[in-house]
Amino acid sequence: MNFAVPEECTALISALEKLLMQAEATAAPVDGSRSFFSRDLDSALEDSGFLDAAGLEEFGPMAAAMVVQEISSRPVIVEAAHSSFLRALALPEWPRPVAVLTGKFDQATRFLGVARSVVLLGENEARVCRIEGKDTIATAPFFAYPMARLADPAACLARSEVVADAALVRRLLLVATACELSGILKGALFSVTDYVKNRRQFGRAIGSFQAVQHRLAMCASTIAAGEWLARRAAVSGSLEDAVMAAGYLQESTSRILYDLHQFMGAMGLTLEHPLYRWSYRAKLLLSDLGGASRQLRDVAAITWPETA
Amino acid sequence: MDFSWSGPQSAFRARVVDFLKSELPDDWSEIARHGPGSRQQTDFSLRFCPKLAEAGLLVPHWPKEFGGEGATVWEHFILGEEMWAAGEPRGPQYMNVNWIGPTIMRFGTDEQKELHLPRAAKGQAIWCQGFSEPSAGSDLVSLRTSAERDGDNFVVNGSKIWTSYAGLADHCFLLARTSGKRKDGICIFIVPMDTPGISVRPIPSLVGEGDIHEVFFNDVTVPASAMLGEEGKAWSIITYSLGNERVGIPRYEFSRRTLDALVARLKEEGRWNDEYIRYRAGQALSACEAARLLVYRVVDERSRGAPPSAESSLARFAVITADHAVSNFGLEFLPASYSNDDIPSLKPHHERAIASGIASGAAEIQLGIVAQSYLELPWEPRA
Repeated sequence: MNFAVPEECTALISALEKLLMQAEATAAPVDGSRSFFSRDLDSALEDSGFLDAAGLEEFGPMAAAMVVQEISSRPVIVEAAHSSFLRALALPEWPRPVAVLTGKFDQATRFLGVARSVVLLGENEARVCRIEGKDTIATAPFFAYPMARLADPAACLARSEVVADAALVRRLLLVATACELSGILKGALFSVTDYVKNRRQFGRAIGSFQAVQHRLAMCASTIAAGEWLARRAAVSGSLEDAVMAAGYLQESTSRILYDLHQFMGAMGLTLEHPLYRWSYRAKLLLSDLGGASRQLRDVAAITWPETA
Repeated sequence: MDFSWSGPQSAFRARVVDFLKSELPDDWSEIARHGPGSRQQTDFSLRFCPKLAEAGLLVPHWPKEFGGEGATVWEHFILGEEMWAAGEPRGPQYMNVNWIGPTIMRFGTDEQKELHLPRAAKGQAIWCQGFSEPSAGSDLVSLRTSAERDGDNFVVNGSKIWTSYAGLADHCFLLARTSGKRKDGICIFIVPMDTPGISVRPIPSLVGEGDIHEVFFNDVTVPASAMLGEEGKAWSIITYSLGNERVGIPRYEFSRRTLDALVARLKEEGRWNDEYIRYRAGQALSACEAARLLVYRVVDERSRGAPPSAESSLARFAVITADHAVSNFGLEFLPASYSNDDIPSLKPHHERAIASGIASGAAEIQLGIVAQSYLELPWEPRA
């Protein structure tokens, strides 16, 4: 048992932080647009190799987990999780950004409008297909992610290839979701704590009220646990760890988001503060891969199998 | 980074498990039902702990000079996990090995070390913790029990409450006030419980037999040599002690094993194919594993010699959440088992779960520490 972050991971994350800070400094200000995609940052992350860490001997899945958590904790939106796990470990030859469709292939999904590959995950097989802009139709930007659906799902399916074992793809996606969600929640938490330190009501910072402190502290405990469950799932390669991490985080998300929006008050309802870039991403991830309901039933079935 | 156990760590765990298999009697679950403060479990601990000591498994993490083997922080924790998973057969003695002994080692005089550590290391000492008072629970610094200097002695007057194990303890780790200054007026005394003037009243409770008491001190004469550490310096010692206590108990492991037993019973009853029950079991399981990882992180920090931090309060809150998740699962799906008493760990687990957010520093204290030290939220002093 060793929780120390290896030096090479620390160095990688330190370099990543510099890139992210630069991107945040030069990004267009929050301008009232509801969905967002940092194309320049996405390309910079790809070019600099940060999204390949999982498949590199000197880094591996732990580094990938930390990369995804770090990127997701920022109010910038790029496709990092699918690329860092699914592409790096199962589809290295396929171009990114990578979008994923599970179950019904005619539904809208995140990053599809900017993706160059789409993974079509059924219960028994995983297929992948190259796509271009004309293959997709943008949908209403309810979530902070760029959302789109396939113009012709049947045609896409027809030209797709079986690429990997569906169970492997599902496990990698669960890890990706857990890492992305834990990073998003952590970023949102610290955005709100910054706000409540400075916002004064009744003559004092609202973050000094015990009612606010205790609920944010409860969020912090859950998010810290989720962060480590996600890292363990990335490193262990175990399906049990992957469904547990994703399920735990998905299960906790609604309660955490309620508190974070509550303490941000009306400011959190605006598109001028970036809280929605975390909270609406998290709202979409609630349902990823069947959501908490499926994940928690799955982890129970794996831990206590029927025949044991 | 490695989330698996090393060879030596696995071997140590196997050694503990083997010992428990060979030394726990067939009627252990009957004894454990009475709770850790009960006469039955206390008497059992006085038979069991000496065997544990003989096998080098009572205080393996203590330095060799005090009867230990210099075991690692992780090995100490593995020992605690397996003991808790078995229902804590060390009874009240877990306190001696986890924090009272180490506190005496660090702050005690040679005479105190010689007097108390060998007995604790042999599994022959039962202690109680004289901290909380009717007007000083979470706000420990408000304690009023006084210790007035009288030549070479102090005379103690006051009362303690919620004191676990007091009815059968031979010594009390007592906090008393020698002056009116808040933190700086508190001292620690090691007091034999048979000292004239001490009386104990058990309080009937929901948390096991003999677990909570009132302790009254009426003109109790204590020699100055019984003071632990310097006069007025007790607060830093208490902080050190509580730092050891707060994550010293791997209760999530007891919760996890109780959850295993609940699922086994649901399978026997043919109810394990119920998807909602599985979902709720998954919730409780993930709460246990969340607590485990946060506690492991603290243990890992401690193994590197890092000072105690707010991480232990993050972990403590997760442990409380896990205790409640498992207890609520049992109450929702197998309520009859609480009456039938057909799952041995169920009632003891429930008794600990309902106290877990209250004992050893309330959940709200932990949340306050997280808010101010981890999230760095502002603290506004009382008007």
